Amino acid sequence: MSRLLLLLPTTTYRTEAFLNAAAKLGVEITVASGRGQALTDQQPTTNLTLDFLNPEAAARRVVDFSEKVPIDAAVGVDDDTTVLAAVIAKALSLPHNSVSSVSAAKNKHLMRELLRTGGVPVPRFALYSVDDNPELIARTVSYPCVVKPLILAASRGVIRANNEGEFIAAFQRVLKILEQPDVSARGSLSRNILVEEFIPGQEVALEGLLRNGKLELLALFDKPDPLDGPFFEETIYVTPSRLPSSVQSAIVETTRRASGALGLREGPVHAELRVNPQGPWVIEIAARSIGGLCSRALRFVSGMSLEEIILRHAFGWGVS
Amino acid sequence: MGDTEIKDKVQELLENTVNPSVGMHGGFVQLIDVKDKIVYLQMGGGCQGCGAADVTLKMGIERMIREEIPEVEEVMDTTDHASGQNPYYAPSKG
Repeated sequence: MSRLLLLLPTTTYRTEAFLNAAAKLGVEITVASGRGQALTDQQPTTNLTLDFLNPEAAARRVVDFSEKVPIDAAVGVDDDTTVLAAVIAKALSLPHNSVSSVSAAKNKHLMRELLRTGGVPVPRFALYSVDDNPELIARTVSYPCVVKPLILAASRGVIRANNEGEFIAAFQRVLKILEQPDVSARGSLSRNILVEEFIPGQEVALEGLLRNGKLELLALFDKPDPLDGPFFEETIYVTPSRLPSSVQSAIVETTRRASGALGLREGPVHAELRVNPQGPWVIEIAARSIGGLCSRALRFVSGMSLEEIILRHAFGWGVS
Repeated sequence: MGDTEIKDKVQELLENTVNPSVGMHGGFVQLIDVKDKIVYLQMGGGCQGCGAADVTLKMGIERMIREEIPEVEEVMDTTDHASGQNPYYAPSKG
């Protein structure tokens, strides 16, 4: 029987959905977590503790583990574990995205550089150190702008500033977030702050699956609430999209180009874009599926869940 | 094996194996009932609302119950995880 290595942070909301999907597929599961599970000693083939902050060491541990308990697919569920899954899949010679592509998707600055180089529309942006003086930066940026950490999802620490005073306040607020132990533990990425142009327009989220470099649209969500800041809390997502089909096609095409610019070729893609008269702009693109409990709203052919599609693809099985 | 015998065996498993381990995370698991070979459990303390509760239940407790008592047809978690006051691992969106 095939065995899945499921890389689950202990903080994720996705556990139940992925475990249910794996059970439905009838595969064996080993859950790997960054911190100890309560019953690891009693179930050593189904529970594994890895150092999520040290992917190379984690991969070596999985290679040793797989000599006794062979692994057929490695799947992560968030930005960090997606990178880890790529490192592990490479070590196990399993099909995978390149480590550089998923790492780029996790780093908002590197992502934007690759997208800009690839001719994908992105906001103008600049990178600053947490040690830079926000009062000096505030005099040089164009307004309105958006201040955001390089890492973190779900719009955590993403703040719009319309003038110098708001910028300084936003910068200092992001600094406080980056000082939190769970964030600062994530290394050098927590030492920088991204400042980018605010792009007006309607925001959408695209859920897709890459198969051998080809993007398949799974769902396109409209975000009907106006997301003009100063904070960008996630509220209502509506799918299917009510945008004209030509606009939807442009969104898919832009996401396809963005995936290619990063070098992503396999697995789920979650992209956030803004659409205005100039067309779609990529705000974020991640090599993972939508977070939180949002996937519960989605059902696909034959009643498949999003997680089932992701796992079937990871095993190299057909979806339809 | 009848529900009463299943109940006794699950209780023994929880007391001797499961709870000493989950107790290290400030949690506990109670047997609520066994009806028609379906086991109803409730998690408390650090397990209630824990981001890893599903792993503990499905990849640990449920497997141990099925290995020990193959007659069990289903293991149901009746916990109100949303009301967990002190989860060992608090879920978040990242």
